[in-house]
Amino acid sequence: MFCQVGGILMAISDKQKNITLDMRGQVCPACLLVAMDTLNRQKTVLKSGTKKLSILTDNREATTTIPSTANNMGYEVTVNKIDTYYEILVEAQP
Amino acid sequence: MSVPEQIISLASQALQDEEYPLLDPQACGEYSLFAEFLNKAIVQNRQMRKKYQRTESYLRDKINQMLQVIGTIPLRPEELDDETLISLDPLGIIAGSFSQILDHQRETNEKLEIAMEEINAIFETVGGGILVLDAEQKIISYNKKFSQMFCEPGLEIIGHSCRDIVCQGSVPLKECGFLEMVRTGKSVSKSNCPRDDRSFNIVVSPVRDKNGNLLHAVILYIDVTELMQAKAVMAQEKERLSITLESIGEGVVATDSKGYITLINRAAEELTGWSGDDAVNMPVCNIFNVYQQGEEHSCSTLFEDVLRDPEKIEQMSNITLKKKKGAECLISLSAAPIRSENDNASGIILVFRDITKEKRLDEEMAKSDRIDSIGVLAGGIAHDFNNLMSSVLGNVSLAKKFLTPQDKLYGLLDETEKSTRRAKGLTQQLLTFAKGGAPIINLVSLKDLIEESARFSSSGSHIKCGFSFADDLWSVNVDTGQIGQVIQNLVINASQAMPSGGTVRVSAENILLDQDDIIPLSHGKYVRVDIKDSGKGIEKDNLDKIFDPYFSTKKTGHGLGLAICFSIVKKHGGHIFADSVVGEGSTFTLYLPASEEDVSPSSAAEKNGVVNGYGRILVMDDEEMIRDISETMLRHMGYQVEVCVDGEEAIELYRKAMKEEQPYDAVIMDLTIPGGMGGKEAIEKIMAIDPTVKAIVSSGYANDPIMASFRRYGFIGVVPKPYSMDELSAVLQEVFVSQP
Repeated sequence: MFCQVGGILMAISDKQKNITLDMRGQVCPACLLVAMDTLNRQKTVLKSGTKKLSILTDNREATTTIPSTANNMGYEVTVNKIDTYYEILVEAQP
Repeated sequence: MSVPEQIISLASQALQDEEYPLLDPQACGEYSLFAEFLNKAIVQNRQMRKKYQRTESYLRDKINQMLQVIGTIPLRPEELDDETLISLDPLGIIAGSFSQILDHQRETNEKLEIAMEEINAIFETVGGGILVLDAEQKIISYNKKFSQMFCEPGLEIIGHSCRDIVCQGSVPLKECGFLEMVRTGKSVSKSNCPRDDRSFNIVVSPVRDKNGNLLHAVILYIDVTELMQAKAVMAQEKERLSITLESIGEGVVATDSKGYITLINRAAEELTGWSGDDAVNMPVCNIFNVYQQGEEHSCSTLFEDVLRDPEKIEQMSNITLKKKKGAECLISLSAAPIRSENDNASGIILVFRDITKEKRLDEEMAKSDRIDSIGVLAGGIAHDFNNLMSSVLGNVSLAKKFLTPQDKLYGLLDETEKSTRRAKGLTQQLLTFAKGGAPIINLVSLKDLIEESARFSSSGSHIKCGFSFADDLWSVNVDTGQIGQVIQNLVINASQAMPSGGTVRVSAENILLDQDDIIPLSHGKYVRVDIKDSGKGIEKDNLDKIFDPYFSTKKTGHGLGLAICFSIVKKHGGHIFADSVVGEGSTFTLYLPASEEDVSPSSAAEKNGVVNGYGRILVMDDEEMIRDISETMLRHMGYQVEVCVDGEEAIELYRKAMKEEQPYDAVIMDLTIPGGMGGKEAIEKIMAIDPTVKAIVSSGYANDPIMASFRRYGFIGVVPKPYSMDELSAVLQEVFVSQP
């Protein structure tokens, strides 16, 4: 699945358990809007705990705005630093 | 370029550039109307473009505003162009996100409401009173329990200080839990705080805002009055139990279920030799080293037996307890399980006491009883035998008076007399042993008596006697004959135990016995005599029996010697026992009660030989044989003699003699007349007739108390039966000399 943001395509891979949103190279708040859009679209599977959303970003600001917004929406969020980027893992609250 | 082409070119530029001037219709000539139309279209276009720009700006503003609400930075125009912005539908995305945020908020609110309900339920149902204060120590909330604890019904306390409601000025500020919590910044617990006649445990906890500033304080009050009272009762009970345990004579040891000691009282410390500090937490079998005669150590089996059956109470006697330093004592023991609530044994209690002394006293008692019963039998035989001896001895000694020592018959009679005396000695021994024989006591110095008796026994033998006496040795009130006999017997025994010679060590010292001594005597002053040989010793099995009559390990012994010693010492209020190690020797020890008096030098002189006398003598005896021989002997000595069979006749004769003014110079009376009045009663009556009567008491029962203290009954002399002519003469001399 492809999504066009700001004229740039972003890859979203939909694996067995995780939905991956690779937004490396993009800046906030566009990243936030894309992340929110995905959270809205995948609400059912995410809230039920069937799947988790893995957001990859190298924008430091996004590691604050996305977790804060996702928390307010009732999700559990963890941020992991991986090499040169971050993985923001969003899942249903326990 | 034609005019129309120029007009269109200018119009195109005016459409693209807002600042570009409109067309000039007058300059367009015949196309002026066309130019005016184009100008209208250009103005309309410029207005529409401004409107579109305002709309787009409004959209960006609102999107940025919403992004700020969510908490992120505004969109940058270079990041998203207008077209992309519209196609991305940010408002739709944000609206969707708000929808989720609101859903989450609603769920959170529902959870908060439930949590609030739960807190309210806890607030009201918790067992303690709860007070919520603001930072100024003013009450903002409290539960029913608090109200029941501290408030008058209907009293409104919101807004009051807790100091007015709870402490009411009775607690100094420095002890205030709230202030301490403010000062330390931590929760504060206070135990057993008094308020009126009740006690409370108090916990003060802070409630803080996000920045750590104190918002509220929650105080929990738990009423512990009943708990404290129960604790006090328990402590009192524990103290009472502790004092009881420490003051009783029994040793008490308690263990847990694994056999480790949890409690040991003072008596148990003394009995086991282990101090409480060392014993507690030790396995009980390490300190309670017990076994029964002939069995293996049995502490562990005892423990297992009791634990296995919670109903079981083991009671055992005659258990040997080995103390820490190896000494042993006999104990009686009771072991019972301690039952826990579920009826399982959670440990055991051992209660035990030292029965070593008790056991020895029992054995002494049994020995005494045994000896007494044999004594009764022996006494009966000896009494009759003694009377027969009296006749033989009297007749033989009288027969000798008709002969000169040169006569052939004299020698035979002399031998007969000696044998008869030995037989008399044996019956006297039997009688002494038999019915007690209250000793005829005199105050003596034991030193002389012991030395004399021991030398007498050891003279001519292969042993020597070594003496050791305390310088200030107390005097004793003893029958010198009897105690002399004891010393002689013991020295003879010692000499026989050392066939190849040696030294018998004889020592005497002063001893003050107190209540705790194991010697079965009442407390007081005693003289202790030890007679120690270095002979072959006595087997342990025999040691208990050596004082039994007719028990002897010697081929030639008749087994009376030590039985008599035992009997004599006992009649003197003393105690005798033996200690022995096989191969090392034996020690015989006797305790004799010491006298408060000192011995005055004796003036009693030995009297030997028959001294003839004159005067009238009345002899009273139920035995014809005795009457006959006494009369014959007395007549031979020169006395006039009358005889009678009992007290009644004696009184009658005495009265008659007085009346006829031919009073008797002396009366010899048998103490015991079976079926008639004996000497004791008769002397009373005769003294009523003649207070100056010279009466001599005579009896085969040397042991009778009257024989020992004859003067108290009115007699002035005593002569034990059987007596020889010499002895009879001597007592008459004594009577006539002392009271002419």
